[in-house]
Amino acid sequence: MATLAQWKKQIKASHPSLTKNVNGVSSTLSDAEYKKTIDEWAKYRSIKRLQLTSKRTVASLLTTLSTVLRLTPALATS
Amino acid sequence: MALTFIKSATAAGSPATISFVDGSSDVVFDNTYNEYQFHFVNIHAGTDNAAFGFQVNSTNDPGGGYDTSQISSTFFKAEHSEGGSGGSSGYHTASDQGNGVALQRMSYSQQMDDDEAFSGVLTIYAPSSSTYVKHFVAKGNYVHHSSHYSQNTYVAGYINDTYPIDEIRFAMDSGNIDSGTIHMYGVG
Repeated sequence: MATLAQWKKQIKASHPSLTKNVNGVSSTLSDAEYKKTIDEWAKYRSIKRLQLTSKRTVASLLTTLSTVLRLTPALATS
Repeated sequence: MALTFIKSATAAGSPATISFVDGSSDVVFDNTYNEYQFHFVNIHAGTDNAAFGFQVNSTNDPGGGYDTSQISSTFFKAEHSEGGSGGSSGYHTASDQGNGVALQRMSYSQQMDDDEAFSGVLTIYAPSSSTYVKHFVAKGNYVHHSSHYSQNTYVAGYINDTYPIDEIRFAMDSGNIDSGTIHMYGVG
């Protein structure tokens, strides 16, 4: 799984500069704004990947449990 | 009550954020109106699985980092897939906040296919009050990342700040706003 630093590197590579639109007027983000935005995006991507992995792990465990209970019905009623 | 058009902003050039700030380019976000609405038309995410939302600055933090006015909120959704399955409704805990300063989601996990986006309306009540917290209600619809679900969102809460709110920023939680338009109206 990618680390936060790896996410930042990846996002920076795909977004070497960023713009903002204020009251309909477009401008480039300052260095500080750029860094803060990349940090936030990397954090959210990292969290979402973790949530996705957790969801898949739980689904896999439930499938395994369901199989075990099907094969050993006595466990389901005990 | 009538809507008075204030300003439109289009996501030309795929910006990271779209903001409306009181006091320039014909934008008023003060006590001129007691209620403001933001209409979102086809907000298309630049990154798959991203959420669209907003943050605010108060007059106590002008030009700030949109990280001091806390939000407490709820997030309900109803959903149904293109394939006809999954008709359900529920509360989404990952999208609410308790005195948080993160992006307040109005969608989550948006699909980014070329024909899929978010549309809806956000209403903020009495943003210029220096007595009360600022209540907001948003409802919208978008195509969810998983299995092309139509997802209908109902988001509400309050900005727990008694300083007037005069700056609002819209963004995806990760990635640019690829395209779309936001119209700002005053109500009254």
